[in-house]
Amino acid sequence: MPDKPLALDLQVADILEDAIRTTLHDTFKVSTEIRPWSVQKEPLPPSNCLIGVMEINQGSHNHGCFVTAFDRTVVAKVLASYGVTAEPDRSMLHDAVSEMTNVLYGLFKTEMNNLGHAFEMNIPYVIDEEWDGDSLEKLILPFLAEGQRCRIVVSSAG
Amino acid sequence: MELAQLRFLVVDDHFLLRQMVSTALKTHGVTAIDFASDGEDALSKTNQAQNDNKPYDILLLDWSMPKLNGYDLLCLLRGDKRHSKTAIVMLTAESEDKNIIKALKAGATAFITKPFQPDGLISKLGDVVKWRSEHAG
Repeated sequence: MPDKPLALDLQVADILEDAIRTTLHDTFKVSTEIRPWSVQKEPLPPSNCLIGVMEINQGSHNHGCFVTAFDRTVVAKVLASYGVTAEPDRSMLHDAVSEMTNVLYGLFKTEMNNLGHAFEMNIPYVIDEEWDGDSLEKLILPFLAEGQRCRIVVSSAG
Repeated sequence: MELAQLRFLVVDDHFLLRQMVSTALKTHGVTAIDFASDGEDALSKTNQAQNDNKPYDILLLDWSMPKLNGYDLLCLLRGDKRHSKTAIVMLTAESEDKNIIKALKAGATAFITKPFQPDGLISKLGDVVKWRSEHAG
């Protein structure tokens, strides 16, 4: 299938909003409040979040990145709801962010592929520091989870 | 046979997902739950269980995993007649129709997409239990 450029538009923002509600609110029982989305090229401000990164690939072509940023207290709450009541260590927090990114990206990928893309599933990685990303254009969807600032960012290589 | 009497292997590279599944199963009385964090680990445990004459009744299998992915593991297990009575349920964020069809054609018993609700998981497993009763001889 020929590569279709990844547009950063209202359709993508709507897909991300649905994914956040389905995954965080409906499944992980985290209260969420979606904020207005924007598109920008500038580096992102620091967020003090754990960052999950999934490359958006179609064959050997990289279309950009799908990035989640979760406040640690939100991740700890999700873990606590599944029995991890002690203070979660770094590897546990990373694991949870990785799975949450995996599920969110899976929903995003399915909807985007229904629109004519052929994005593939990958294994996400998690970083502690800020994702400085790249000089690519980014769609940024901020949201509050349990009152804490989180966001999803999709960058596009066009 | 009731769900609570069955032996499960939950295969996923994420601890969080394994905990979610485990919590749902335990709520319904299941006690025999083992875990594997990648396909190679799962293959080893499945073969060992078979050799010990305590085969798993149901495998819950993620698709994207390091070392050996869930789809390749599914094909390996379905190519080995010793595991023909084991139900293999794909539990994955791969939710496109083409992948569901691909897995079912390769011998998956059922396909559950992430994110899932505990009640939905248990309901689907009820169907799988019926499948087992027809195939376990």
